[in-house]
Amino acid sequence: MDPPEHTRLRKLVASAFTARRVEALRPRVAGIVSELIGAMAARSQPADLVAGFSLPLPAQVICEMLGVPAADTGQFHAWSDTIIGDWQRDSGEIMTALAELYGYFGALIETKRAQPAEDLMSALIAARDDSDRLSEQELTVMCCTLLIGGHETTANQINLSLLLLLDHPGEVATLRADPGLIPRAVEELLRCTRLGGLPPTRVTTEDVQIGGVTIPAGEQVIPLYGTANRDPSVFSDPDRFDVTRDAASHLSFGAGVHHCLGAQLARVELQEAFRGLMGRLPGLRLAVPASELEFKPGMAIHSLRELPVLWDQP
Amino acid sequence: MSRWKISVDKNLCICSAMCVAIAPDRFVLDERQRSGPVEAEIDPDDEVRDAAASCPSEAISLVDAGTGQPVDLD
Repeated sequence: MDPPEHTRLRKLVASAFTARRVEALRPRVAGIVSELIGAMAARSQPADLVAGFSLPLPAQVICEMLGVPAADTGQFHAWSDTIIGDWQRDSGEIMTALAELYGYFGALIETKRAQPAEDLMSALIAARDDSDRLSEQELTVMCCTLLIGGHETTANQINLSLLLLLDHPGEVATLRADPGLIPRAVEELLRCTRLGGLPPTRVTTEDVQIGGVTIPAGEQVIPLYGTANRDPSVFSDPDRFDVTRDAASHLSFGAGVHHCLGAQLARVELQEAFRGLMGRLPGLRLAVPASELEFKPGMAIHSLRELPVLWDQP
Repeated sequence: MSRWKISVDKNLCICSAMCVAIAPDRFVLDERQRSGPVEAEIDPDDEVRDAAASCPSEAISLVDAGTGQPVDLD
């Protein structure tokens, strides 16, 4: 989707995801991190970090923002898993899951229409009903997109980041010694991990000159963000993972008009996640060899099925 | 009513062009696609406030020209 439609829709939600608004959510994000780690620590080890932490954290945050009952998150995981988890899955199953997800939101929109609350869904419904700024279908799709978009992405960014960190004990020690480095480390983790599988295709709307090559209008372009993130003219010694470097100019959230709407929210979640994991689970480590970890066969996101971990009991 | 001063931090700007889309008469992109104000001082304008509030990287700063205080974006 391109401007002006993209701008009209993005503007409706953009103000909810600015750094200022998201920063106000930080204490609540930290609270959810604390609750989840507490619950994991109260159970026996090894624990599955995917089910106990990395998936429920972003799911709970986006549910609270939208105003979706947290009790329904299990159902979303199932739908989202069917929709993006396996590229070989029967397309009929994917269409059924999409229809169920849309149906769920259709019903929830009616509930909130009758009883508005202080949440993003109610604000979007008001934008639809009071000033006709989006259609009913756009409203439903927007809710689904926000829910799915803010969910497997952050969850697996936590997983992949932790895998990379655990491979670099020196960097873990640096972070434990100085938690003030965590925001910087999160940018470096975003730069060095490869969350996306096949990146979304773009289509040129006009002739584009890049690196001495002209790409004609109307061509499909696959931007390789992971390669750009290791551009030696931008990042010195790009293959070195260094939590103290300034990596903020990475392209993991994209750029331009399609720059990730949820980037600031993802940053706050990742920062609080690692503050919690580093601070509260000393000696955090994999419970199985990394080679035994299983990824879902989806093409959109490198998504782990399980991440069994151990830590030192205090 | 007091005037507003607009400035855009080009180091923070990520070229999302939200401001140009929301307030096309008030913001313009340079040759590197970074945003800047068309006029640095303007009469209060809800579209400009909207653009500043919607900027994903919060690169737009809006200050009351009389008091020097930031304009309330909510």
